[in-house]
Amino acid sequence: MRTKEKEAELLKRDSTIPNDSAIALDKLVFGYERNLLNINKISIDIKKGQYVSVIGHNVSGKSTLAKLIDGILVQNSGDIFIFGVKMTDANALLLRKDIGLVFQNPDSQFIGATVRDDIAFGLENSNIPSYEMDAIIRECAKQVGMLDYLDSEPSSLSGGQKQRVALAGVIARKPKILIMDEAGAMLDPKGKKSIRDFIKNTKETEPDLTVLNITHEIDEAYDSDRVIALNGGKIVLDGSPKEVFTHDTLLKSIGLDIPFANKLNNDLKGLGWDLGPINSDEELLNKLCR
Amino acid sequence: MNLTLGKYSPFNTVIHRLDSRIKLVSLIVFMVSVFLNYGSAYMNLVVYAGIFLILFIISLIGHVSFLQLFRSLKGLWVMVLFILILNLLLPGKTSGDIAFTIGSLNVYYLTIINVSYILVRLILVMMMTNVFTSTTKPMEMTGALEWLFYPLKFIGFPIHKIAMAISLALRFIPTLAEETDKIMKAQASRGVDFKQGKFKDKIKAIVSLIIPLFMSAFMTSGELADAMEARGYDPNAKRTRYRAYRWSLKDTCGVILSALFLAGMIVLAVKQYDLFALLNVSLPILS
Amino acid sequence: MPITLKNVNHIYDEGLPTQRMALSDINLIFEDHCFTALIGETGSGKSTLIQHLNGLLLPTSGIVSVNDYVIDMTLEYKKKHGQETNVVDKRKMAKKHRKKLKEIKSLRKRVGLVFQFPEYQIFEETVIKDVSYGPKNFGATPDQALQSAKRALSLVGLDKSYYERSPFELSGGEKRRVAIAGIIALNPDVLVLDEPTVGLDAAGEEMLMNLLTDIYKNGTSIIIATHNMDVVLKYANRAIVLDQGKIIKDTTPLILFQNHDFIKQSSLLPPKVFSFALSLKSKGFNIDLARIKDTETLAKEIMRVKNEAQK
Repeated sequence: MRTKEKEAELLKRDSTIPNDSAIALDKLVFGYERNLLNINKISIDIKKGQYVSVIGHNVSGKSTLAKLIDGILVQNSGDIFIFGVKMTDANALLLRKDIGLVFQNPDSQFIGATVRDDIAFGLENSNIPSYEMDAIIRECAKQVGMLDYLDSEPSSLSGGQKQRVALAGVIARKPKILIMDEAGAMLDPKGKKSIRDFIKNTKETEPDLTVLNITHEIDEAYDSDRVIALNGGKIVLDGSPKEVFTHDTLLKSIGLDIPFANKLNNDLKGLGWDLGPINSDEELLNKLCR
Repeated sequence: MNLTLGKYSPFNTVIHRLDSRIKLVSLIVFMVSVFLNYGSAYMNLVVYAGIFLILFIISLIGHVSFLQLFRSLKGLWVMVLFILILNLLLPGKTSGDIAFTIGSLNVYYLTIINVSYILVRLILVMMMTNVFTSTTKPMEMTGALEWLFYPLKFIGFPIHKIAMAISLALRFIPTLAEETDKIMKAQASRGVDFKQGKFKDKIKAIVSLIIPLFMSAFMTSGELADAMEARGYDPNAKRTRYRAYRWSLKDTCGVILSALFLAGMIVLAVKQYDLFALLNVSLPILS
Repeated sequence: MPITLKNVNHIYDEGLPTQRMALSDINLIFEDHCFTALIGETGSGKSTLIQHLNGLLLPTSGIVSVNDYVIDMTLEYKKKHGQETNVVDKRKMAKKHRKKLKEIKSLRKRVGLVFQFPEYQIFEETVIKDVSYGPKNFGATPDQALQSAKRALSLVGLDKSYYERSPFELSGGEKRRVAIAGIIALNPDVLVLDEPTVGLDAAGEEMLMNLLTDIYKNGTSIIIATHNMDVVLKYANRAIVLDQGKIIKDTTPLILFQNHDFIKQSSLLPPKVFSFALSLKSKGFNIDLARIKDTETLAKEIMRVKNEAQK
């Protein structure tokens, strides 16, 4: 049994990391195989309460990054700091208590036999006393709109419903960092929207929650404060959504989509009408109608 | 897709609501009692009839389907026939009196009695197992087994990990069944015929089903492991339980009844009272 | 090769408490050389409908005919086998039924069906073997199958270097192309795809849709079930909307996206490019909506209107 003192020592803050840092990565390197690096010297600092979108083509390293931050994968070299504490084999599980990670596949992250049991799984791992669990389960189910389905089995639920249950199971552990690894990728538009709305609402009610949203959807990226674009395991763009999405050619060259207004603006420029930099659909509309 | 696993019938009877641990223990008690010897063949018959009656009543209360029982028994007729023939052809050393003869084969009373024992015990065991699986959800059964094998933890047996593995397997059976269906349809769209065709083709057809299924299962298990870890699962750490067992009056009654029953059976087996002698009924002696 | 559905109903689990009507009185004709988009939420009946097109599922009642071959097995089947109308799960087979089933099976060569995440059906040791598997099942000689496979692989953009590689080493996008090649190798007259772009990134999606367009230009009809309205606008010339097993709209994408009331009622989101064009039009730009397929065509249209206005 770990004593309080041992725990405190494992969670000692590194003084070189600023106080308001939630996730800090220092020259992180990782490869599944010997000669192929999925993460190639990534250094980044994400502040508490930031809402960051991570975009990149399918093998750019996004999911790998999420798993490294959560300590599910161990890096080849480099350091990971969660709230200033350097992650080691000894304290990874402790640090993971503050991190919630939602994956893409609704089926393979549904652990319990019913919705109830699935939300309870995380609570069991946190050693919450069993008599406290029901209230938490109901609260979380309500938050994601699955309160009427507590005794449903996964085979009777849609993909969107299962993803909402996964969210409930993750937030039940009250994480301070929420990572969504393309949580809406396998859902229909309705499902995608419910995930997107959930993140927006949660950020409003919990402004201190740090959110890392890995996504393909540009509209979702626009909801966030900061967009990071990955390619070949490296960061190629890092800034506000506005800044990042002006780099059309670069984005296209790394296999990514660009916002509608930017696309149309580029096409018009190609045909001879240069409207200058455009940042939104309304702006483009107004400029055209002058 | 509608999958009733382990032939569980979703009713809400007293039996269904009983703690699954009681049911498991009672099942074991019943099984033990069926294999004890209570004296003469007649006494055994009486006891077996008594057990049958008890099971019958429980089945009625628990809305247990007898149709299911018949179906399972029907499936075993080959084995029963085999046992019958074996016993007829190879009677033991002390064969005793001959009941009748078929051609050159002697059929002894003892043979008839032994085969009857086998049949009756088989029917009773299947009956009690049917009651158990019809009234207990698979998850509850796993819970009861986990509780029963708890002491093994102290000799290093990873009972909690095994129970977790079993629960996950149960949870994924419907999912894998759906996956199988999808793969079969996809291969059928490529012209695969799972029922007809040459033997070689059928083998290829099965391979075209099994390999994707295994790949899918491996991928799912990798993703599942990540998801479990992400929610803080540590197989070696202590965990609380959501489904805590809640004891109630009926469970206490169940314990008492089971205990009395077991005690009664043991007494009968040891003392070997002869009911018929007590009632002054004389029966032919079968040796 | 037209596919016709007349009064088709499909009920799952008939007689059981989980009974539900997946398709209700469907009447459709899929003509030759058409690019059709099937739109609908999960549970609308899209997948069920698709599986009727190549005989994988038989209607509970109603008639499906593929190029005049009528699949009329349903009623006989019901009498013999109770509720089971799923062709893949057959039990006792009478010779007549076996013959009928063989005929239905041959349909699958002419109507090629690609399921969602088709890469999961790959199982052979090499790419070329997997793609040849389909044609072989329909009676092609090893040589013929090889030729069909090579042709199909070049259509999906996978060259010789891929032939002997293990499909399991490939990336997700490449695997998907191998799976689709496996169906294209059957040389179907109609290609039906269920959500072919799910899980692909922007580049992958573009590549796939270009591939489908090429196949379409070569004479194959395409039917895709999709959520992606941009794809519907850009590629399809017919849009069918399903809701709870019924067809609620059967029209062109252009007419569909201009129907404001319908769009509001349903949970459909028209493609951005179209909404933008509508906004421009309402502000006085005289855009010809029929010409709008994507941002390029919209830009051209805007320039055309601008140049005309300046004259």
